[in-house]
Amino acid sequence: MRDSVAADSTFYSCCACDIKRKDILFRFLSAYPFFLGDKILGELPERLTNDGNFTRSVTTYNFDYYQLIKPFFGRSPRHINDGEYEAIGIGYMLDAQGRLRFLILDDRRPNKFAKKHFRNLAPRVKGTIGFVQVVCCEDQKITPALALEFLLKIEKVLTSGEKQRPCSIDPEILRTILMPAIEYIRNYHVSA
Amino acid sequence: MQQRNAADTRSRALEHLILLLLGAEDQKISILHLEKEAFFIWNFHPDIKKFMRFISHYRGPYSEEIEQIIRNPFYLINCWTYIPPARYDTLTGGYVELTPQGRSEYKRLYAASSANPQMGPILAAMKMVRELYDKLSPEELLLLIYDTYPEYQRKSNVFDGIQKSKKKLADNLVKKGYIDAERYEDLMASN
Repeated sequence: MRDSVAADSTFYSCCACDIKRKDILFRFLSAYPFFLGDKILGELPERLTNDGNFTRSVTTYNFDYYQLIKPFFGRSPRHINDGEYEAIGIGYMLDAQGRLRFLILDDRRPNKFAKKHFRNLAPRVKGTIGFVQVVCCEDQKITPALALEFLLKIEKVLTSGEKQRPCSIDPEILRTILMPAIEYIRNYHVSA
Repeated sequence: MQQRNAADTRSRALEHLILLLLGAEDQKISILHLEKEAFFIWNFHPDIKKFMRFISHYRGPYSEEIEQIIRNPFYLINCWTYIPPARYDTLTGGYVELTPQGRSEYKRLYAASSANPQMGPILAAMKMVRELYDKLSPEELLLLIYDTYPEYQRKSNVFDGIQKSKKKLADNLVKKGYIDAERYEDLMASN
């Protein structure tokens, strides 16, 4: 059954720190099985890793996934502990087992890498915004009202200047991805 | 006696691992690609460490065990065919291809291994490295290997040849979309 999610640390930090909506994160965690690794865990804020409800809600795999793709990124120590590559490895494994529903990658480099090199993974690779839209409008695991609350909070945090790039979103992504997604869910909400 | 049994078990397991890697894609593979892909799996999963050793070589990380098994398997007889390199081919080390018997043995072994949860990450990693690296030419693969694992390289004519073609090879990797600008800059900056 394709119901599992692998996500990079940006997704968890977005929910718990950038927009401070841990409650919505737990809605996602109860809707899908989430998988992560040690490197991603190491990038998460303590408010999540010290939360027993969080650690009980996710499954952890501990292998060095970066080793599988290292020649494409080089030996520079700046990438060795990047959680994005761990998310790709775990996502690939879940996909090979026919279990992957979403691979959430918000950073451009790993997102492009996964889509370019892994044909089967490409349609499952989403950013946080795309993930929320599909969870709401295709999978119907959260209500449109909650999805809008989530996305509007990102917009507010960005436009108020509270954070410079909440959830890895900059003004360009706000214009080209976030606002169209909000519009899409609003229309979906009306027609539903 | 006990030591011999342990060595036999290890040899058999290694032959099985090689069969799983060979069968992960339905196409022949060069010895160069097979060795490097096994090396990535060896680095990835701690349980694989005990089955192989890698040493520095003029074509990057090299495993005597893999070379032996491909040419003279002891347990998996007639499961694959070794095709020696063409006359002027100094890079690939030849090719290896599963036979129909090897393909059905692979299917049996894959089904049995899939039932073991500990094998799940290894099987997926094997598919991943085949999908990632098989598409690289021997020259492209060696360029990335020499740059990423300098501790496993030995200076040679092959190394010099790759260094001479570095810019052209790196340009091609960018053109195909296999590496990005950041990796390209890294490659061009390294010696």
